[in-house]
Amino acid sequence: MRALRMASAVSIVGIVLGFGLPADALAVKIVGLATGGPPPQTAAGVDLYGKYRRNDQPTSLPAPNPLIILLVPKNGPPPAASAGQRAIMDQRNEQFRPRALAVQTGTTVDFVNSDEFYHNVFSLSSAKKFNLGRYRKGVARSETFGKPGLIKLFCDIHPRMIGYILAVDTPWIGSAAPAGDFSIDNVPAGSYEVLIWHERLHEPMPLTTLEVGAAPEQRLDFAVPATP
Amino acid sequence: MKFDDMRWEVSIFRRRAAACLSGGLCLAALLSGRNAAGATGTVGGFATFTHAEGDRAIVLNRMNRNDNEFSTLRLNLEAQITIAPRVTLNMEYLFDEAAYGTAALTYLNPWVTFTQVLNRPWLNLQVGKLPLAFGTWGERVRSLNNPVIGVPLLSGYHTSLKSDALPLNGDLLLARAGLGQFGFNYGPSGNFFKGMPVVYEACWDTGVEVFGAAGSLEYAGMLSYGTPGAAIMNGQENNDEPGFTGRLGLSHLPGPLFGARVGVSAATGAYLPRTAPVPAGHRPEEYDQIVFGTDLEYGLGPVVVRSEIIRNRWEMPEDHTPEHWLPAHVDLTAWFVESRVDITPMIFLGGRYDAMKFDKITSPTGDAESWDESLHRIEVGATWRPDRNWAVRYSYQMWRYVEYRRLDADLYALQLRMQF
Repeated sequence: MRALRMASAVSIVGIVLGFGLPADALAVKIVGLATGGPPPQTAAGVDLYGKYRRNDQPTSLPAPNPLIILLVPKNGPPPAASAGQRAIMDQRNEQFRPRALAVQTGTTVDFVNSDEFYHNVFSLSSAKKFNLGRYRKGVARSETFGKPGLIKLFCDIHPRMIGYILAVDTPWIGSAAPAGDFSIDNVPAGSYEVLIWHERLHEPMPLTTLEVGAAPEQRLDFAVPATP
Repeated sequence: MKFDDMRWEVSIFRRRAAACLSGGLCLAALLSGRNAAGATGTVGGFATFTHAEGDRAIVLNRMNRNDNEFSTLRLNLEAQITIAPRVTLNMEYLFDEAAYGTAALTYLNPWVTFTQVLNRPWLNLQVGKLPLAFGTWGERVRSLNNPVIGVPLLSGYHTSLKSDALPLNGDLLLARAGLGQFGFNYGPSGNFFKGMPVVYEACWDTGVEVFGAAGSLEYAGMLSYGTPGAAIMNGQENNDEPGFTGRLGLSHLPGPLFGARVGVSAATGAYLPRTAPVPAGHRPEEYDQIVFGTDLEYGLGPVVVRSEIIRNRWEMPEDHTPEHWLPAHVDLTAWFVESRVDITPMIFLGGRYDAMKFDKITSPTGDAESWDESLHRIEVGATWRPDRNWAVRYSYQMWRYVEYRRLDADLYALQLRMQF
């Protein structure tokens, strides 16, 4: 049975076009607008005091806007996460990388510190509250996300750092690259609801439906609505 | 060149420097206008609502203008506007319901930061009203993460030495011991006002600063009109000697020292205004504030510990006559150690031990006494942070004087703090 399911799995590839275009522009191919759309959120507060005196000032451009694409099967629940499923959220150049990470519920995320200084990741979101404490470069601390929801990440030391974990029940998750392209592998044939999430949304937003057939590859091109 | 001519030259230089500074600010403003379409800015701040019990302890916590961390309402507005590539205009304005209304404009702190000057990542510059480049308290003063509410004694407590006048003699200085926080004068014609703090964070100084970091080294050097204890807030120099403040620090250390940050700071400059009466043949600029300090921070997991210690000297016109005797200087040592422990993601516990010890001065009769009332203070507190942007803090402060126990005081405070 498992072999049969795998045999019928297809890859969903597509390009996200035109953050900010009206919703009726679905499937219209507009090139080069993936960098538009809602600007990145910043953490509250102005870091005025000693920001540049400290030896841990950021050295790179901000991480690009995140866009998450989810496929939720319309007929029946999605399969549960496999045991020991893991993902990585890096902290590099005083930023969370990726800025947003979508994981299936039950996944354990390793929060790696790649900077030459301490970070202290914490979250007060109702879906998951945790505080990893201060830890050094090369060390990873882990948290398992067993409940669906949006988890906002902060660093207790660097107030401008902000990141997101989106814990969802479905395993079919895509994350758009800066140019808008994404891929979701191993999607069985069937009917799916397509949802998108970016950091201006409190929760994933239904966008369209998708019928996945037997072809090995299928396109899913869409534009992100200007407003939820 | 005669001394008076030299002073005139210095004065001309200072005026030209001030003109250049003003021109630079105007240019920055013009650039801001030219780039208005592309300018980006961040506006934020915080508000605190506090209920505190302990009237005398509240007085002991007051800054120069009676503003204090335990005021019923405080509102701090902050703005950071990028007016050109690598140039930001920073502003801060504090409203404190306990402060003198007439001092409202002195709470406006504008300054301009130029980062990576000449494309050197380690070279940054800022001009305007600047936070002190001494120790690390100034970096943390607005942080929600401070374990307790109060300001360290070395950064806020007022001694019984004034910044606008010298006492007529040592007896008068000794008679004012312990009154620095309450306001006093040295004679019927003097200003009735608080004494001079040591490394005063609440009043930013006017000046220019270079600062940066490279590898494990952090550095900051600031030329300003005032000194750490007698800052010039209105941008007008009040004597003929600038102050210098600097810090050298180390962080990003290898091995088990990864979580450590250490630094040494120093500052010197004339603290008296040119109008201060001094003995004939002397100038107020001959008497400096000289202060050295070290700071230490170490963090690991849920715990962070910080400490600062300073040794401060205020020079005075030495006199051995019974009527006008004064020591050559009055000295003090102050230090604190504080810690914060994260209990849960929402709950922290913290505490700080502060001490300020004043050295003895010897009168012509041979009697030696501390020139001000030495004291120590303990503050413990708990923070409940249900949200990233607001928290409730409960704090207890215990003030204890070493000899003059009538000044002992206690304080309980419940504070809601919101940042935006």
